[in-house]
Amino acid sequence: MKQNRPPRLANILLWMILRRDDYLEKTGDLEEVYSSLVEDKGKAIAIAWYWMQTITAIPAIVRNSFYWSMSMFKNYLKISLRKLLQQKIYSFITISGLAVGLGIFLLFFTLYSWRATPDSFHKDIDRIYNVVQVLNSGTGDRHTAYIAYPLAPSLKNDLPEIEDYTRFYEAPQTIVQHKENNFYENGICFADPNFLSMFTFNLIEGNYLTLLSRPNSIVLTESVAKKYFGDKSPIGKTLTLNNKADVVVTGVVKNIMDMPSASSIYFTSLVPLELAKSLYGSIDNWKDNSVSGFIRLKEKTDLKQVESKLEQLRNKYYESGNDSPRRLYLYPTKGLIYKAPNIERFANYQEPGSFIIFIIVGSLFLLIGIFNYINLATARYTERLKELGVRKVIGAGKLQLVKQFMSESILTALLALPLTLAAYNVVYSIFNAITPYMPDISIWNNKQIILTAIIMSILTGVLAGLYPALFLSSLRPIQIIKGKLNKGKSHGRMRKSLVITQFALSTLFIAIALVLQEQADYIRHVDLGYERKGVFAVPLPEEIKSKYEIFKTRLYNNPDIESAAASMGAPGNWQTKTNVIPEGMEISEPIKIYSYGVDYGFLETMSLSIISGRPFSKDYNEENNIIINQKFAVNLGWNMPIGKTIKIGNKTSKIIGVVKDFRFDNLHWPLGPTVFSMINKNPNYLLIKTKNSGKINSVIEQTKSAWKEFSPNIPFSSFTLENYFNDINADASITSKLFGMLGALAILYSGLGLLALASFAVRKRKKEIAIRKTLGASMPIILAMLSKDFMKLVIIADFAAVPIAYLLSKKLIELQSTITMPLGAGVFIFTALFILAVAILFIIAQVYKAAVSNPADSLKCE
Amino acid sequence: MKLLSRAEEIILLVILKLDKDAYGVKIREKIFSDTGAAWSFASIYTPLEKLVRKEMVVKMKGEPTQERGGKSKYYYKVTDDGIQALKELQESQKHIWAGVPDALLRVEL
Repeated sequence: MKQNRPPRLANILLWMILRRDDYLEKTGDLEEVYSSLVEDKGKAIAIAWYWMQTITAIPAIVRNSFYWSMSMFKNYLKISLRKLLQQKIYSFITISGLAVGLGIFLLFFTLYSWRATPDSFHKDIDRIYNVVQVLNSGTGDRHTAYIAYPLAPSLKNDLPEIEDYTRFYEAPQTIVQHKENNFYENGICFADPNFLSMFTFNLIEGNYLTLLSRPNSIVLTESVAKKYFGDKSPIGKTLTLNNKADVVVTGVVKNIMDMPSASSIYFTSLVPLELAKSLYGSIDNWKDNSVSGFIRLKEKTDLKQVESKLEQLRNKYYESGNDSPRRLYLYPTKGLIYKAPNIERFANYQEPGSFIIFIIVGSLFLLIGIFNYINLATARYTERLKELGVRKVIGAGKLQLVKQFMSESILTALLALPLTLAAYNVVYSIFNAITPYMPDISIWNNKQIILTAIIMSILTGVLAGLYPALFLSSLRPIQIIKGKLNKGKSHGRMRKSLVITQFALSTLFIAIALVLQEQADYIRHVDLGYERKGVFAVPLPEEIKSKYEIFKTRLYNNPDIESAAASMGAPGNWQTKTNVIPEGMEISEPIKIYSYGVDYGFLETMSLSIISGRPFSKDYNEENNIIINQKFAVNLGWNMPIGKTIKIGNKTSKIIGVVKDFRFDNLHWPLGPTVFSMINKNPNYLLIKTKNSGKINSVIEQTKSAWKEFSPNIPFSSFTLENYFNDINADASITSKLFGMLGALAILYSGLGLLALASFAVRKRKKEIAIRKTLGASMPIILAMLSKDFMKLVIIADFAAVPIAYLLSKKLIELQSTITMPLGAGVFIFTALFILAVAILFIIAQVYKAAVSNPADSLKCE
Repeated sequence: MKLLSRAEEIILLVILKLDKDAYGVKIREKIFSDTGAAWSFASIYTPLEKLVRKEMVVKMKGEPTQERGGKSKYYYKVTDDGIQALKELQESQKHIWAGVPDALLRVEL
């Protein structure tokens, strides 16, 4: 008999796709024919026949089983929709809760993926490398992506593996003139004509191939184009650079922030490299390491082989010496923004870990949303226990019930989809309004968000439905029908811990928001060693620079002006550095310190206090005199620095004064050693101090009219140091606003969760409340009794969250600034009490009804 | 009312003719002996499932047998709805065939 068994594999296959009943019938039929076939025609034919029958049956079976599951699904759908419509407010809360959680998660996820796939929008980015050279820094190796102008083309000549090269030069501040207006632009960069075909930045107007082909062309980014030409097409219009070169706009590319992903390369406008030579002197030599060189290797090139050839070529290009590179190598350009912080390069280095916070915050929010759903759903299902019981009695298996609840929560999540997208858009536009650093990730331009939203909806539905489904399907039908539901302790504990988590997260967000806000206020008023109040700056256009002293003396005629001084930069974000060698120091590598060029009256205008020595004065020849700050003197270990000398570049200068420490740079870096010297070039700013800081606006107006008299054709612009400073240090208040918004949403969620829990408890204890009332319990006593349990949860949440909030917010403010406020307990106590108060409001809203209800109503119902 | 498909018609008639012995294997054999066509099991089950769904036949579990590897037979029985459907089909057959001029195609019903 045994050899007459049909092929097992075929049976297993059938067993997998058929229901049990069908499986027995079908294989029974097949086996009956099979056994007679074996006898008549032999085993081989019988087996072949069996397989034939099995395989031809599969499509029909699949179709059939799909029909049955669909018809059950239709039933689930009908019931779910009916329930959702029955309790409109409840449904609205669950659906919008899921939508907001999902929307915020999506936004943060999109933000994350925008940042996590840097440079991916360039076509051949995987084959593009930076040429990096290792130089002798005196103390060790110095890796730099800035290379000599002719290096990249020479490499292309000598290495057949290189398909193409392109170069990039970042100019210092450039003055752009359009009609009457002068602007300083920081991001104008110079590049080889093929730059925009090697890197495929998204073009808005213009032709890729001819963009930079003529030497007097310029390609603008969208925002620059808008700044100069408004909504009109800028193509063919002319701009003047540094008052020397006229350039014609040939194209417009998207802003770098609006590219499909983060970019390692940053510019606001592009000009052909040829022009840089005439604007910024000769860079065309083997000595200056001034440009970045990119090369694109041919496909399937062995990087190792190329690098070994680089070594030979290095000896060919450079004589051995201290200035020539020790080594040349290639570093992938893709993702450079997050990599290799040791390489000096064009791209700012950003901590790759810094944006993991997006995913964390996003997931936390999704989690809160899901908890909210679970809490509300389980609370509500207790009203549907009869339906459950009946289903079970009729013969619904556990799996079927799980399927039912799952399809219900997935349906809810899918219904939430339009709201999710709406929430995404709302939160996105709020973020856009709060922070200037938002990339373009609106739904309209990123259609894949919708797909992600659908997938995430279904996943969220599954996640949110999992707990209620498993919990409810595990109930015993007899208990359900009898109404003697054993509300297991574990279930209550689960829901309580969900509420605790929600409140803890709310506390966390709110506390961080408040700390950051305090920090922002603190920084706004912190003493940085100079006076911002009542001081304003006037940027000096090229034409005025040489004549500024005449204008400055005129200003002294105004009785409201205390003093005025010219400078190379404006305090607040002033970080020009220079190399110095102090006297008596045997060092091969110069020290890099802050270097500020100023003129007479500067220290007085900025209210910097001299500790020893004297300020710059017209009575002396100050050309070779400098003033240093306290920090520098301490670093050098000089007790009496006056009269000592320091070599700045090739010039030896004498110290005539020491000022108390102050901060002109932005506050991301710690206080550094600083040197003041007299301006040897034309200054960029005129700083003016008013006698009475309240009158600053009228003084600015007076200065403006004086300017008009002085040079009627050149526009006047100005800004107060206070505003300038606040703009630069806005990060803390931006982040604070973001956290504040998230905190408000988190509170709302937690409140809803609490509401659900409270309503569940009130229903459970309805009779108890009624009896207590008949026995004489007063309303406040009942309120207190009902609220007590929940308050415990909130207090636990507070206690759990406060230490984490303390550590996190401390870390956050330290990351943002080197000047941090002393972190006190006040904020955290306030947050904890605030959360508690909100929780009380939510509970009372729910419990009050039960407390004032007529006890007869709840008692007479049986 | 939608008319039965040819396969459904044949299967219903075969089940009726087999009476108490109508299960998968026998249905297939009977179709072969009546029409000369060897249907695969799949092409029997598909219309059978449909008929079950339309409640024109009912399925009943029978006794297990040795030659089926110890598995039960599942018998099919035509319901009143099934009979009704066959009657309707017959009725429309009559109308369709009535008045066909060619004498060669005339059938005695």
